[in-house]
Amino acid sequence: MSRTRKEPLTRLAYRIAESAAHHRSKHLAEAVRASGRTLTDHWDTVQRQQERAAKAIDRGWLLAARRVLSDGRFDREAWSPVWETYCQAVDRLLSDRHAGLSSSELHTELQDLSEEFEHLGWDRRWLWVTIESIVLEEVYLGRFQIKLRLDRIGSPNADDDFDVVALDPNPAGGDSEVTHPHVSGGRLCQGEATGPIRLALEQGRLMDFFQLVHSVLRTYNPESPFVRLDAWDGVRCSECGANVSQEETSYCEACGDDYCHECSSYCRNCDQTHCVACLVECRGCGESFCGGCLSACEGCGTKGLCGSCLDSCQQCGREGLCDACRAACAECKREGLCADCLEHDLCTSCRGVQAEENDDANDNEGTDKRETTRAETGPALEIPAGRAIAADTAVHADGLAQAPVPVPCG
Amino acid sequence: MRIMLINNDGGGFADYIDVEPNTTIKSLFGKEIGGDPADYLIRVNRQPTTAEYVLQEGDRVSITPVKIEGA
Repeated sequence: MSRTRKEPLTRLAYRIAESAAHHRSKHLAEAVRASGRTLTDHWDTVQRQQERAAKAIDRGWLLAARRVLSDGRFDREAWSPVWETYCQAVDRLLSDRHAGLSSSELHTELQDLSEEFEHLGWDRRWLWVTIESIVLEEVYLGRFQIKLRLDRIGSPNADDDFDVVALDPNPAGGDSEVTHPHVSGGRLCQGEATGPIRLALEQGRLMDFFQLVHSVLRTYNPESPFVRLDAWDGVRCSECGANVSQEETSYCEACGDDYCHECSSYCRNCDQTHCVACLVECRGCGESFCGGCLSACEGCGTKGLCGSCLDSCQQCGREGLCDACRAACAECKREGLCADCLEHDLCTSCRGVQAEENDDANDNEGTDKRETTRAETGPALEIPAGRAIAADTAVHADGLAQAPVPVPCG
Repeated sequence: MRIMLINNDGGGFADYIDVEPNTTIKSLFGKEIGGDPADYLIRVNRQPTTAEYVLQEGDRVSITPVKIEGA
């Protein structure tokens, strides 16, 4: 029977076996090259020691020769294991010529796959199966396709060479790349299946591989998903990027985005919810407020003050003054007075009282002076009636006006 | 007698082991795996099997957990 008349699964199995054999041989050849390089490096070291020892012996420097050979003892002792490793690698490569995955075994694997799963398909690069719809904790995730690179079957460390494609995607609300709690960007986070998957692929156990991936897809691990199922229909926080359920989000009235509870708070005045970036700390009390609930001091112009940190003057009633623009009277201790109402640290009332006291003091001082002056200058002069002093009468420097000398009485 | 055991639980294992004649799947499972067989897909020679199946020389037994936690 010519190759072209063989059934498709047979041709596919043959192709996979050839590819696996090639990769296996390549892997074994790489092992020979690596161990051979180690062997060569080791041989160079031993050879240099031998040459040095030979030179020393030729010159009769026996002590030096013994020293060189003693220093190289460890290298000589390591020679056997290095040589043995190289020989084993060569033997594996030579004896493995007809080993690896047989096309008949692979054909059986492929037949099992076509019977076990909803659909088995392949092209030049990929082999895939379709699995039934996955529903986890009442969240519908749809059907998935597990796609495996054909040229990685039978290769060691091929555990990352497959994709999980959502055929009826219902991605997480906050991240369209997450189509399953453990699938992001088409890559499965294998978790506990990592080791078995790698071993199954290396040994060409296709049924085991696809069943392992299937087992991971139908299991929900709430400890470490990309997105939790209880937040599947959730929203991504605009600040930290966390995917949270609708109940756990807050809408910022200022910027109009959604935030998680960690990244949002509320204005202490109007109670509106805002993100932390849209809230501002009052420069007086440090509480958080939205921009609309902060003002500037009418006195000094300091901005970012809340209503509690601004007050009015207790005397004139001037509003919107910060604590720094209001002070207490030094005399009566009345608080909350603006700069206009405080003069020399005294309120209006106290200034008035002080002024009266000063006037009284001045008056008393003036009376005493007049009496003293009278005693020195004689009886008071009586101005006859009708002899008012003219307005333009000159005034002496001592305050006494210059007046026509009246006729003394009596 | 020798059988091929493929254990896809834990870190994975695939090799020949020796078992006593007349060993059943149930006893093999209890000895090599533990746990509830209902939580595993057990196949002998690539076919689903019962717990009472008596193993034969050269049988290929694969055991795969039904649920595996991803990360």
